[in-house]
Amino acid sequence: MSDVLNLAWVVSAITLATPLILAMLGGLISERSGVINIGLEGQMLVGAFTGVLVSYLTGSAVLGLAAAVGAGVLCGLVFAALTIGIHADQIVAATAVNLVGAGLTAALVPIVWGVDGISPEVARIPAVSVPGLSSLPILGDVFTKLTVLDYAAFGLAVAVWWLLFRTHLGLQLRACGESPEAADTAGVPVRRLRVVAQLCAGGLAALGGASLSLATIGLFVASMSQGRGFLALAALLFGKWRVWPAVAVCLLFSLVDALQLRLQIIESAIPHELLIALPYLLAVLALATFVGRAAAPAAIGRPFTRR
Amino acid sequence: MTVRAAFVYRTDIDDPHCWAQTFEEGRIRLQERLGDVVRTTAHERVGEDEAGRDLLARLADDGADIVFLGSKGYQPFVLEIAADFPDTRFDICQGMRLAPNVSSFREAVEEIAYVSGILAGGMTRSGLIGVPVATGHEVVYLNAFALGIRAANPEARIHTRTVGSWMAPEREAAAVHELADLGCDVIGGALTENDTVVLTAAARSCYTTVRNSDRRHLAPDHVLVGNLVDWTPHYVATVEAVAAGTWRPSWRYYHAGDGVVFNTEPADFVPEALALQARRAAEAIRAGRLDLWRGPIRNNRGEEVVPEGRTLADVLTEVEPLPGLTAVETYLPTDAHDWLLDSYLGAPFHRPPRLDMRIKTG
Repeated sequence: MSDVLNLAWVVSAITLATPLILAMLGGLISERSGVINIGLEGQMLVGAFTGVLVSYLTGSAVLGLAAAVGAGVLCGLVFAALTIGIHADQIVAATAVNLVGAGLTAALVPIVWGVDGISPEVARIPAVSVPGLSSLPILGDVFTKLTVLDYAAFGLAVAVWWLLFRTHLGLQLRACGESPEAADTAGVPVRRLRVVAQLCAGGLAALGGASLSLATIGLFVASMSQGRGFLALAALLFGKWRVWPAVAVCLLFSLVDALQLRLQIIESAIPHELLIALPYLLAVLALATFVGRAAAPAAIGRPFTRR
Repeated sequence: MTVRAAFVYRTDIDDPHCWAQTFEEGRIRLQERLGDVVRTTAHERVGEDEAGRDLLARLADDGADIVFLGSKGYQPFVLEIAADFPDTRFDICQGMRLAPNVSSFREAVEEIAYVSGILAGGMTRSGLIGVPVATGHEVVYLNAFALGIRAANPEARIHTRTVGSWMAPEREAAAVHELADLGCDVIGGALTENDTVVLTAAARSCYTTVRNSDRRHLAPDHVLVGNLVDWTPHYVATVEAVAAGTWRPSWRYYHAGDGVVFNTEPADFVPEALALQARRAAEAIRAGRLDLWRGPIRNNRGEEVVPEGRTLADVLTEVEPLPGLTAVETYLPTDAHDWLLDSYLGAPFHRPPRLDMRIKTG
């Protein structure tokens, strides 16, 4: 069993969890402000593509990351303009973001690089060795394999938690999601806060996408997010729109994901296809059973207009 | 008569696997080679669903003489359409059923995997080779690659990590990283058709291989060799048979000697003796002088598959060969081939059954 459950498993799981956590945090901010955001997948792809494009053009993966976040914020702005500006249906608008995100990035690959489907290799975000921690016995190895993005995902989780649940701004933002009318009466700029939440969501989801393309792989592959935006959404729901439970769910999904990297080699009566579907089945199961209805922000999905 | 030939691909022609590209390149060469004898059309991104079924029916309805199908996934409904359109022939890559107007063609992937294996086995310093496994259905590749490794380095052992699909970049990268962490210094296997695997292997200073399209340029200092497929000989022979009215449905199994599968030259940095061994093996395979499946072959359940001094053909007496194929050619791609060579570390091989995907024998 030690061949299966070992440190490499944990490292793979953390690496696979990073894009999920980042996108989930984006979704969390968006939904807490009262806007359903099923467009994470498209925003991730935009981030993954932009990151690689800018890293390719400049030779700097850090600039790539920055550009990815910028493109994500832009995506968030477009989504905000549609849903908050002109009150377009949030599901329809987010579906458009997904379709455009997937289609546009795939279409741009041959235009930019002359080949369909895949970019050339670009400068990537390297793994860092954490001084001190990396010389720990047993666990030390973990701290030589992770990139700054893996740490950033956890750091940002703390930041988002603190912002949403420990600051006045967070309270206002959550009020927009629970009862925008009441928030408005109390002088909270509901629409402006919701727009800001969308910008943050876009930036975070795109950062998640860029962590896929720039940290682990160093190239862009069309549709490379492979439904991770939706999995992040499931984690968000499973975690009842709370930061730490949702982060835990992301880690759980990724542990299962990384586990089945090595399950084929042990005698197993379970069809492998089933194991691959396991994180998704877990999500479905979770959504169908544990998620209480009351957990969602009360005003989620409802556009706000002052009467 | 001008033969109207339609080519149907599952993915984009330029998809990152390059599998569709192998067909498309064959189509272009066929058109060049036969000129006015054939008129070809290519159809990419054809799903294995209702839309795909409709397209196939439309092609047949429009009077296509032959439809070359780039995926066995079409098999389930091809037979129905073929029955409705008896004048159109369907030729399925790695097909699993024949009918009066349905044929199947397949490449001897084991012959090129074996040569890649020789280079992998010869280049490993740690004696450990890493194979990211796609779905476990590429067992022919896995075993032939391992036999090649054994030919160059009997002591070498193979670690696997299962990605679970043919396209999941971040999982491929995670798999290669784990294999490198285990001490593997050569990465191989069927998934080296994906750039992610090749580039991640190179980034971890592992040697690797490429497949389906010659992308040695991705990592010139790390790619040992490429496995390539050229369907032109099959297309030319088939279209000529259609034109001459001599076409018959058949199981075609193309070997290196047919010019359908081949390896690139070993990389410059491969030691001359090893490159020579690989070239000699490839040459012997082409000439039909080398049987890869020569005993002793033991699987990693500890069972003897082929005893010393015998070959796989000798022990497959139970297998009823498909018409035109040998017992070995019949057996290799089926689910009956459910073992991994003892070079593979880890507990025994398990492969999920493929529903409705079994080759029908007899």
